[in-house]
Amino acid sequence: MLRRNFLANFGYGLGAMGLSECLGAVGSGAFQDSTSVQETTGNPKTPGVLTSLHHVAKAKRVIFLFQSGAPSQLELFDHKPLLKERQGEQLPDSVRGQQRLTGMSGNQSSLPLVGSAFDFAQHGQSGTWMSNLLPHTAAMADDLCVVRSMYTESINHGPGVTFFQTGSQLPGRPSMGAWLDYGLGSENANLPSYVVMVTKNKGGQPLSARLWGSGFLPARHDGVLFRSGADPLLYLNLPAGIDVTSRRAMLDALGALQTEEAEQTGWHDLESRIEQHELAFRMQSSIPEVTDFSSEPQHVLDLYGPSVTDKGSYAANCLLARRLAQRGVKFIQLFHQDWDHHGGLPGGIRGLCQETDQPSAALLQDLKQHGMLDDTLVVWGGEFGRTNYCQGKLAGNDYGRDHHPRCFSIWMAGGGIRGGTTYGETDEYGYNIVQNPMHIHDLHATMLHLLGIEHTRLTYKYQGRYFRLTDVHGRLIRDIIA
Amino acid sequence: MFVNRTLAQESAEIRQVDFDSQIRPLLSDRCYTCHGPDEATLEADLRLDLGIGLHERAAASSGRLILSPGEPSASELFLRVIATDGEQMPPPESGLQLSADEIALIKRWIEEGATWDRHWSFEPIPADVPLPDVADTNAWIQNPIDSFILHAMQQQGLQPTIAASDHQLLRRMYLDLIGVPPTMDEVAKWSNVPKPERWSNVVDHLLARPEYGQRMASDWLDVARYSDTYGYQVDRERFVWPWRDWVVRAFNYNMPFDRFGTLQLAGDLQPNASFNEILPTTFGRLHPQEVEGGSVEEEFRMKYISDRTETYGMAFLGLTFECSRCHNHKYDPISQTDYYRLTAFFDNIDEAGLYSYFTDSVPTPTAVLPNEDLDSKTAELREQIVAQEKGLREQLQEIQQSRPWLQREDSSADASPTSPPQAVEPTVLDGQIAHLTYGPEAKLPETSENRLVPFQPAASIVDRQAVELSGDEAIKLDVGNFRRWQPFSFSLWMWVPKPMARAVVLHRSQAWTDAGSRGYELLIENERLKFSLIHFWPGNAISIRAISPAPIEQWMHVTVTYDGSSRADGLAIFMDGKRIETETVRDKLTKQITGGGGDHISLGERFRDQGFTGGRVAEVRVFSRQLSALTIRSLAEPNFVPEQLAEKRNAAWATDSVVSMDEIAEDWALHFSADYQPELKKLEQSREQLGNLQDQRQEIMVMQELPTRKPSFFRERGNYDAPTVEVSPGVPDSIFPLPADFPNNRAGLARWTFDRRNPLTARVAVNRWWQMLFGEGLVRTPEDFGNQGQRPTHSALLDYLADQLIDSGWDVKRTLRLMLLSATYQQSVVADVQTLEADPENRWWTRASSHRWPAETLRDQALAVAGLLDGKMDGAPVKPYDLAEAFAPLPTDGGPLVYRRSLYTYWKRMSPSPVMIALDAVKRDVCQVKRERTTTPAQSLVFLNSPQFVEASRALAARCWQNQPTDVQQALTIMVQEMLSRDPSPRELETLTQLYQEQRQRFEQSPDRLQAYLNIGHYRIPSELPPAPVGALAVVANTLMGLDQWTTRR
Repeated sequence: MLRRNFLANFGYGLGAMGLSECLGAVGSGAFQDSTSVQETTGNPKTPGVLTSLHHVAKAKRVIFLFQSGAPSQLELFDHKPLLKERQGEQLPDSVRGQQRLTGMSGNQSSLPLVGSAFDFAQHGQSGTWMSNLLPHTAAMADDLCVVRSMYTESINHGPGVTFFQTGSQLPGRPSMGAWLDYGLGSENANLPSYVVMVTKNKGGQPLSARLWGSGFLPARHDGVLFRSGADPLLYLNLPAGIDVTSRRAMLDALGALQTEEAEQTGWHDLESRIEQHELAFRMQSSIPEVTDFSSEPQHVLDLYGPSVTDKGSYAANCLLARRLAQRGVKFIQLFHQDWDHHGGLPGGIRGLCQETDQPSAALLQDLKQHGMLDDTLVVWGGEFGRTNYCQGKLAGNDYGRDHHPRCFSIWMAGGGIRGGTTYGETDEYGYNIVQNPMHIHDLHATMLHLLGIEHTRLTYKYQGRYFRLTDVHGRLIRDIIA
Repeated sequence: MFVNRTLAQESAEIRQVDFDSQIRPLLSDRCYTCHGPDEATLEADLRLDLGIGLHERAAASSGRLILSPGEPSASELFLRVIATDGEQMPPPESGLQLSADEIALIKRWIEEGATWDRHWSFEPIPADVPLPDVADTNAWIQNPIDSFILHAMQQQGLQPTIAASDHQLLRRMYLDLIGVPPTMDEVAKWSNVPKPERWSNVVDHLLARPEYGQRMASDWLDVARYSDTYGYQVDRERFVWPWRDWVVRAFNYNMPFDRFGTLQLAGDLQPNASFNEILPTTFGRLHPQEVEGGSVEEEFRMKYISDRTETYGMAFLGLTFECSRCHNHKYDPISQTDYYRLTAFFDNIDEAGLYSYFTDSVPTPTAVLPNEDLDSKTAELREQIVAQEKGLREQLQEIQQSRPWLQREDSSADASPTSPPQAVEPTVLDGQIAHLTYGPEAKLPETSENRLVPFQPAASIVDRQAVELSGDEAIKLDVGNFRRWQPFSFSLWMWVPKPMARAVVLHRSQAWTDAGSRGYELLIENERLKFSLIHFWPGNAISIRAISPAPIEQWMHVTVTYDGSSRADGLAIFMDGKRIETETVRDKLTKQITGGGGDHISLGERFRDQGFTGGRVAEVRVFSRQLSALTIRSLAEPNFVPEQLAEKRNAAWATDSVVSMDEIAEDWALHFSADYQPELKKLEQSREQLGNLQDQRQEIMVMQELPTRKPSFFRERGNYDAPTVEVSPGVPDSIFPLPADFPNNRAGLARWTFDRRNPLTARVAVNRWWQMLFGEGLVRTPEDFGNQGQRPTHSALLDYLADQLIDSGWDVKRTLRLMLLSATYQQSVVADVQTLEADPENRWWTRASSHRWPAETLRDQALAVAGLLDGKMDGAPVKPYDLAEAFAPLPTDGGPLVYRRSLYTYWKRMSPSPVMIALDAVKRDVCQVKRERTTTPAQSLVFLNSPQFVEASRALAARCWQNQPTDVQQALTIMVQEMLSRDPSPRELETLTQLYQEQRQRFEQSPDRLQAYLNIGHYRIPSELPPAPVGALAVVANTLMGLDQWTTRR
C-alpha cells in the first residue's frame, strides 16, 4: 500500500514532471532537510542573509592589514615628547592607577618611563603626526584617519587577537569576515569571499585557524587561508599525473552518474553537490590566475618594493589583496607577525616597518590608481598597545615595552573614512585616553556601518540567543566618516 | 491520561493553547530580558519565568491582576502587550515586538485559563510512558518507536515512505554503527539471511564489532574537546590518548552510560579507586591549557574550572552555562550563584593555571600508568628503603646509648671516610661546597643594581659585608643541582625589610610558573619562610612553611636541611640555630626536581617572579649533606669561623652536657660514625634507584579530589580577579535539589546527574544517539534543552526512550538496537512530493535522513575499500598525509600508520587535520555536541586531489584488477560493489567503462604521467599488475570517491 502510493506519486512520476520542474516546484530551501539548505553556491552571486543593506554602503569590501603582536603606538603614531624629557623616571602612580599589569613586568620593582627612539614630524596638509619609521605611510597621510584612542580588554595575545577578530576574548565566535560573508554573501562564484593571508616565515606569537573561523556560523563562512607555498588552497593542484583533460573527463563522468542517480531517485541535493565539484574545478584555474602577478606592469610592482615577487611576503600579499579585491572578494585579511617587542624594541620595530611600510602605502596608492580606494576600506592595526615604561632594564638606547590595553593606535583609509584626520587623544604620558575613546566594539560597529550594515541587526541565533559581532556593545563613531 | 504534547495537536480543529510549547517561548524570547531569571536586569520585580503568584498579584501601576484567568481584558499582562502608549510591552526601544498572531495567541491562552507549567525539560521523566493508540493498517510498526512516530505522522496527515533497499540499509547500518562499509563477502553473507531476522542479526553483529567503540568514541571526543595538544598559542603536545582508548573500550564493553559518565566525572572518588577508574577523569582535564609567558596563573585556572563546568553542563545536562559565568542567565533559571556553586565541584584539585614551558612535567594532578614490572620493582625498593631507614634509626639509638665519642681516642686510627675532627681542614666545613662571603674590601660590579651594606648581625662588629638585593638581579652561585635523593642543606644570614607577601630568597630553578617551579626554593610567602622541593607546583612537591612570620628589619640566621627522603618530614628550617615550627604545605614528591634549566643556586631574583627587593643576605653556605643540629647552632654564631665548630664539638664531647644527647649523637652519626655513614650512603643509593624508577613512569592528567576543600568563590562579572563571597558546591535547585544524603563533591554530582529524578541526563543522552542515527535529534538543539532551545518534535518518544534507558540500567547498545530496528530508521531517504512539501525539514521522520557522512567515516571507508585500513585499536596518535598541509605543518608518518582509522589522527588543537576540518569535523577547543554539515568546494578538492584518497583509489583499483584481470567490465562491477554494496546499472557501467578506456589510452600515451600518478603516497601497486589499466581503473575509483552515493547517507 505504502509502496504503491509512493510509486504513483513519485517514483515514476519524474518522467512526466521532470527533475527540474520538481525542484522548481518545491523550491530550494523549503524542499530540503535543514542541513542542505546551506548547500547553495555557484550562482554568479551567492546571496547573504541580508536581503538588502540597512543603508547605502560607502565601502564594498575590506582589506584588513593586521599587525599581530601589537606594534608600539609610541614609536609610530602617538607622539609623546614628555616621555623623552622624563626618560628613566618612574611611572607616577597617579597615572597608572589600578591598571593590571601582565605577569611579565608586573613583578618589576621599577617602571622607568622611556621615550621613542625615533623622531616624529607632521605630514601632509592635515599635519598628521607620524614617526620617521613610516616614510611611505606618512606620504599618504591625507588619506588616512589615524585613531590614537583605541582600547581593548585583553592583555595577552591569544585573547587579544581573538577579541579583535571576533569581538570576544573567548574562542568560538565568528570572525569579522565570516559575519560579512554570512550577511552579504559572495560576488564572485569562482573565488571565496573571505580570504586570509599570513606573511610567511615570521616568528612571534602563533596564529590559529579559528582567528578567521566561522565560529558557530555555518562552516562555509570560514575564511579561506591562502598558503604561500605551491597550493594556495588545500589540494588545489591536481594530483601528479592528472591533467585538466583527465579531470574534465572525471567530472563529466561524475556528472553523468549523478544525473542518472537524480533521475532515478529525485534526490534533490545532487545538483548542488555537482556544483561544488565544478566550483572546485573553476577555482583550480581562478586561484592560480589571481595569484599570478605576471600581468602586473613593472611600475605597479615597483610601488610595492622588491619583495613583491617573493610569494608569501607581506608585499606580495598586499598586491594579491588588491587583485582579490578587484575580483569581488569581500573581506581580505593579512596577518603580519612579530611586533611583540618586549625587549630590543628600537631594532625590532625598525625591521618590521621596513617590511610593511612601503607595501601598506603602496596598496593605498594602487587602489587609488585603480579607482578602488573610495569603496575599499583599509584598516591597519594590532591587538593592543604597548606601555610607556620600559620592560626590563633601561639600558642605553635599547628598551622594550610590555602589553598595554588602555590605548593604542590604528589607521583606516578609503571606504568612506574621512582622510587626513586624527581621532582621539591620550594623556601626555601616553598611558590613558583623555579624548574620544574607541573600543574594539566601536571599530567593528563603524566598519559594519560603512559596509551598509547596522551592527545590531546582523545577528545569528545560537545556543538560545542572538549573537552579533559587537556582542551587546558597539557605538558608531561618526566623526571619522567622510 | 497520556498526553502527547507536541505541535501535532495544532492540526486538530479545536485545541487548547499549550503554555509550554506556545506561550513560554514567546515570553522567553520577548520578555525574559527584563522579566526573566537575571536579577540584575529585572524590571518591576516581575519574573515571567517562574509564573509564581502572577494570578494573585496586582500590578503596582494599575492595581489589576497580572493574569486574570479567563479575562484578558482584566489581565495587566495582556493590556500591556496591546497598549500603544508608553505602557507598551515590550517597550519599543527594546527592538522586540509581538506580532498580531502572537498577541492573539496570548489572548486565547488567558481566555482558556492562563495555565502555567514548568519548562518541559525540567519536568520529571515520566515512568512507563504509554504507547500511543495508533491505527496501523499497513503493519508498518516494528517496535514502540514506530508507534510514536506513526501516531504523530497521522496527526499531521502524513505517512511513512517506503523502506530503504537492502543494500542501502546494510550500508547505512554499517557506516552508522562501525564507520566502515560491508565487504562484498559480508554483503553476500547477509543476503542469505531471511528478513526480518537479517536486520537484527546485522545489528547484533555490528554492536559486537570492535569498530563500534571507535565509531561511538569519535562523537564523544567532540563532547570531551579531546586533543593531543594543550591548545592556546603554544599548543604543545600532551599525553592523553590512554583516555581515548578507555572510551573506545567502554563503548565496546557496553559500559552502562551512568557508569561511563560517573567515572569521567568522579572516578577518583570511587571507593578504593583503581587506575582504570581514575583514568576516565582525564575527561575533566582535556580543556585547552595555557603556557604563554606572562599569563596570569589564576586567570587561566579559573578558565579551566569554567570550561569543566560548561562542558559538564552541555555534555550531560544539555544546558548552556556560559552566560551564567558573568550574569544571571537571561533565559534559563540558572543563576550566577548556581554557576559558581557548580564550579566549586570542579575547583577542588591540586592544579596550576599554566603548564610548564621549560620542562615536560605533566600538569598535576596526575595518575601513574600501571606497569606490572615497574610496579613490583617499586614495591621491592620501597620495602628495602623502609628497612634501611629502620636500621639507621636503630643505629642512632645505639650511638646514643654507647656514646662512642667518649672512646674517640681509641678510634683515631680508624681509616674510615669520617675521620675524627683533627682531620678536617680547619677552614672548610665538612660537606660545604660553596661559601658566598664579602670581605671588607669586596665590591660589586659597577653595573650591578644590588649593593653592599654593612653586615651587623649582632652588637659585635663583623668584618664582613652583606648584599642588599634589588629584586631584579640575581646573585648566582655555581653549585646546587641536587637530585632529590641527595641530602643537602644551605645556610645564610638574612634581613627582611618589611612584611612581604611573596619574595624569592634562594632557589635552584629556571622560573616560577613557566617551569612549574621545578627545583627547590626558599621563599617568603605571607611573611613566612617556606622551603620546598618541587617537580611541578602544586601537585608534585614537598613543602613546609613556618608557622610564625619572619622578623623584619633584623638579622637572622636561617638554615634549611633536607634528608633525601622525598618527604615533607625530611625538610627542616632553622632560625638562629633552632629548628622552628612549620606546617606541611605539600607532601607528594614522586618525580625529579632537576632539569628545566637554572641548575645552580640563585639569590634574590627569579624569572617572572617577585624578587627579594630590599632584602639583605650574607654568608651564604651550601652543603651537599644534611647538617647536624649542632653544626647549625654553630653556624648561627655571628662571628662564626669553622674552627669554632671543632671547639664546640670537643666541648660537647668532653662535658657531655653543652647540648642534648640527641644532638651529639646525631652529629656523631652524620659526621664521624664509621658504621652509620656507609648505611646512609646505601639508603641514598636505594632512594636513587627508586627515584630513577619513578622518573621513568609515564603520568597522565586526571582529576584527584583534594582531601580538604579549597574555598571557591563567586566571581563578580565572571572576572577571575573579582572573587566576592565564598560558595559551597551545589546544583541548580530548579533542575532538582541535591538530596541531603549525597556527598557534596563530584561523586555526589555524578549521582545527582544520573539519578532517576534528574529530568535532563537521560533525555540529553538518547537525543544525541537519535541524532547520530537519524541525522537530527528529537530536540534539534542538542546543546540547549533550555528555554531558548527547540522543543522536542516528539516529547513522548523522547521520554519513552529516556525512561527505557534508565530502566535498562543505562544500556547504550540496547537503546541503539531499538532505534536501528525501528521501521522509522529503516525508511528510504526518498519521499513523495506532497510529503516533502508538508514536512520539508523532516521533523516528522517521514523518511530517513540524508546527509554527508562524518569526516572520519569518509576517510575510513576509502581506506577500507582500498584494503589499506589498519585495524589496530589503541595507542599513540598518528600523522597522516594531510598534516603536512596543516596550518602548522607536521612531518607525516609512513605506512601503516597513515592507514589507521581517523579516530587516531593526531589532533593539534590550533592546527587540526585540514582534511578532517574541510569535512566538517569540529576543532575541539570547546565541548561540541553537533557538527555542521556543509558542502564546499574544498571537500571536492579533498576527495579528488588529496594523496590519501588518490592512493586509496589506486589500491582499490589494484584489488579489482587482481580479482578480475581479464574483463574490465567485471573489474568495474567489483569496484562499484565494493564501494556501494550494489551492482552498477548498465548505464553506470557504460559511463565508467568509457572513462576507463579514455584514461587507459591517455596513460598509455603518456607513461610519465602514469608513473607520477602511480607514485602518490606510500602504496605501490603489485609489480605483476599492468600499470596503465590499473592506473586508469584508479582514475575511475578516484571519480567515484566524489560520487554522492559514496559520500552521502542514502
